Amino acid sequence: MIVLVVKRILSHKLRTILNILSVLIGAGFLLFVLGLSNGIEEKFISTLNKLSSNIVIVVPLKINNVLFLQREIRTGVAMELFKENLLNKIKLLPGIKAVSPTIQLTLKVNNKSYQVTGIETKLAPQIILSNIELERGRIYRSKKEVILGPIVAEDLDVKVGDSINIEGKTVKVVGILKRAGTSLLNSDNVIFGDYDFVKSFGHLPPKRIAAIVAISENASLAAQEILKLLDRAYGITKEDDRWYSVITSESISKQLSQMLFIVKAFFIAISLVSVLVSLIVISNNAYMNVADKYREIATLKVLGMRNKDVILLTIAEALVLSLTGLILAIVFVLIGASFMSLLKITISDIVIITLFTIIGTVLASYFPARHAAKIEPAEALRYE
Amino acid sequence: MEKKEVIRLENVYKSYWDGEQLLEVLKNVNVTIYEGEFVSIVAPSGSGKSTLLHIMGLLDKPTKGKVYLQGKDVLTLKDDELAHFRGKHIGFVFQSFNLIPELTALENVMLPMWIIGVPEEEAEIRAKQLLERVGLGHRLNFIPAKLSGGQKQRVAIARALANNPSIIFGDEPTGNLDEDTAKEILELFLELHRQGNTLVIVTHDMKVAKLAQRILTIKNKTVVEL
Ligand SMILES: Nc1ncnc2c1ncn2[C@@H]1O[C@H](COP(=O)(O)OP(=O)(O)OP(=O)(O)O)[C@@H](O)[C@H]1O
Ligand SMILES: [Mg+2]
Repeated sequence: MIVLVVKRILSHKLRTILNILSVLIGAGFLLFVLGLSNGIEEKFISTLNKLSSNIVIVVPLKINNVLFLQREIRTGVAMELFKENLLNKIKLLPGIKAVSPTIQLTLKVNNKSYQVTGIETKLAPQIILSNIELERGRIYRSKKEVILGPIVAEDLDVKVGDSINIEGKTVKVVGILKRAGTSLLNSDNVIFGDYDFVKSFGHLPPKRIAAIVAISENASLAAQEILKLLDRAYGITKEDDRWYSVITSESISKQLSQMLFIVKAFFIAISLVSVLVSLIVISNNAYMNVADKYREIATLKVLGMRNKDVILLTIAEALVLSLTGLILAIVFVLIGASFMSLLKITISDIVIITLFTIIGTVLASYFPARHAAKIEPAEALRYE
Repeated sequence: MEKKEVIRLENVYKSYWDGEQLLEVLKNVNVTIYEGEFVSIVAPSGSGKSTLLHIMGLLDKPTKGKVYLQGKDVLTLKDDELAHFRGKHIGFVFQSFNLIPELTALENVMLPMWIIGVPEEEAEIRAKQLLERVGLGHRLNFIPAKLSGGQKQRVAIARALANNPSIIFGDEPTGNLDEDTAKEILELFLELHRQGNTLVIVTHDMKVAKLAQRILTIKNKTVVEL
């Protein structure tokens, strides 16, 4: 019987190729989109979680969308600033291990613009090194020393021991960080230096601080405590009235996941359109085969083939085509994945897409198959 | 010796809805075909020969009346049971061969065995034997397009014999063949008859009809002996 299925398929080469191609494109696109969103999720969200899970950042800004986080801190659109004494109150909260004021400014370094983050020198080892390792050198110990993120170091082409010029002031590079990828401190792309040193380039009023960075074993719990403290201190009762935000890597990845989910849903919806087109092609192909093989199907029935076997035969033909297209799609996407690190195909994606293809093909070819089963042999063979 | 019946039609009527009006083709038909018989049905075109053959061959159902195969009332069977029953008990040979073009001669003969579930090796052995019997042992792997009309009809005859049927029907089996080839095919039918097969052949050619031991015709929509 398999012989019959295969030979019938091969008898319409062009039609067969088009059908396989359409499944290849539909399933391939869907698999590509799934793989891409896996890759993005893994690259950004999981590294974020791993790298900065103990950091809490408090900013005097209402941040609704994490995508704008960096920009909002930088442009300093804050209406109000925290008072210095807030630091001491946060220090006393349970679970907080270290607290430092922090500031991030865009400054000219050797005539190029870079992000420079200030963290108190005595807390720098604890805050920075608890998250990121040094590639070489050591952490800064004075206002005259800085450490660089790996991308900055490469960009500026400097080594440990070199001096750099920050807005006219010369400082020594004493350490270079290891590459960390996405992290809450964005450490690959910034220069870290003493808080007072960096602050001196800004225009903060006295006894005010722009942002706070804290370290805690349990960042989400600490974040809640800090939020409570701030609400009490500023008499805020409604979430909408808050002019400050407390950010942890968890809160960011939650927001990122939500956004990614929307993006993913959007792309899957688009690829479902192409899947739908494939299903229409499969169905149409099966209908054409039935119409073409009208007499042949009648002959099979004359020879004793049951209606349900006629249905199975038609569906089997469609399935062979679809699965061929699917296998090609999987092979192509896997080859693509070996070149593109952002493309991450999991076994479960392949299982899902295979089930999807099988169910879709059975549904798409069922109606043509039933049409074939309804052929009356006596009627079909009357016109000799 | 008591003759064993293969097919019996009892008060069979067949009419078609031809657009608006009812067209009666067969009326009060009573026929019995016995085992080992060679029967021909000769009648002019449009008189209902194919209709009668299709009813006897369990391909079509009468509007009214009963059809018995070896004493069994086949009209009580469900569609799928009937199909299986047909595959096992009835062989067909058509004017236009109706071979499956993608399959080789051997596969075409194996097809009826595949359909009723005969094991592959057994089917292959039997198909080879049958093709040898019809003189095509050297054309096993030819597709129909590579065979002559007479060879195609031989493959069709081998296919009709595949499941060792109780009866073989031929609807104008020589209609598409030239005179010499037709003679060969008729000779093959006679040979099958001598070997004990039950044959019913429809034709509008009296010369062909006369080869049979029993000749039927359709007169006034009913079947009579000639
Ligand atoms: N499905 C159908 N619907 C309507 N009329 C039909 C149908 N099948 C057969 N007929 C009619 O029944 C009559 C008998 O047809 P049938 O094919 O049995 O004749 P036949 O004797 O085999 O003719 P021929 O020698 O041309 O093959 C014809 O008038 C035909 O038009
Ligand atoms: Mg006819």
